[in-house]
Amino acid sequence: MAEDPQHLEFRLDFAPDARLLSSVRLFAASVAEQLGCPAEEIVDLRIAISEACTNAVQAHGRADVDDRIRVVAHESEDSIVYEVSDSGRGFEHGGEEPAMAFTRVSQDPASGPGIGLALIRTLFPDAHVEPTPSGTRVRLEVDRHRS
Amino acid sequence: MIEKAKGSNGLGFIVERDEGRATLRVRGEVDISSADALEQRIDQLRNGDFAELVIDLASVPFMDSSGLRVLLKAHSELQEAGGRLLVAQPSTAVARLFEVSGLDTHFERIEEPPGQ
Repeated sequence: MAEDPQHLEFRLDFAPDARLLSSVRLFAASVAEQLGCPAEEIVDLRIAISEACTNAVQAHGRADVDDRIRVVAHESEDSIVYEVSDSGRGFEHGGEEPAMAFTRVSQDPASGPGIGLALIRTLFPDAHVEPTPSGTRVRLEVDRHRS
Repeated sequence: MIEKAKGSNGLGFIVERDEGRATLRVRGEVDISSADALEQRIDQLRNGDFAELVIDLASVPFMDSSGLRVLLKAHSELQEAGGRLLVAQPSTAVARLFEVSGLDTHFERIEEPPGQ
């Protein structure tokens, strides 16, 4: 995304280590809090970011990739767009196809990335999960103002 | 007594035993880095001959699907063994997780565990 002097952008790169997820959630939530997101949106954001980053960490583990995972938050007038980008190859390269994995939350507690993606899409119906050349990008938008 | 789980981002446990029922008070965030510790602690209690296991989540400010998996597994295993898993005092974030995953009625709730 091009530089936009009007709006803030926050970026966090973290090693694919699950012990860092707590700090990543804190980062995402504090950006949202500072930019005035309602508390209920932040509750949902923490879950969705955690799921997206967990999938990213696990994808890096499966692909044996040590590259950093990137979380970017772009501010706009009415929302904050969060993007989680990994280099863990992803579903285009033989991983589980997210659309197929979607609605199995209660049926199969042992299923892999499916629960996480299902939760993200339940919390943020407009969330995108898309392949990139090196992995997967999850994009979700959080309202800054009470709807 | 507070037990600290090793290598689990500081998840802590308090266990109370009361004929036929064990209450596990969990303290800390449950995500992929700590879910195994929770699962192991629940497994130990499940082997302790308790018909009811209460998981108290009042001090769990955050849980994601990693924790949900553990609770679902424990719930079905206890049920198969003729026992019950009950959930007490979920925080706002945990209650929201149950709600959006469609599991808010799946777990039996207990309002205030005894000995509180």
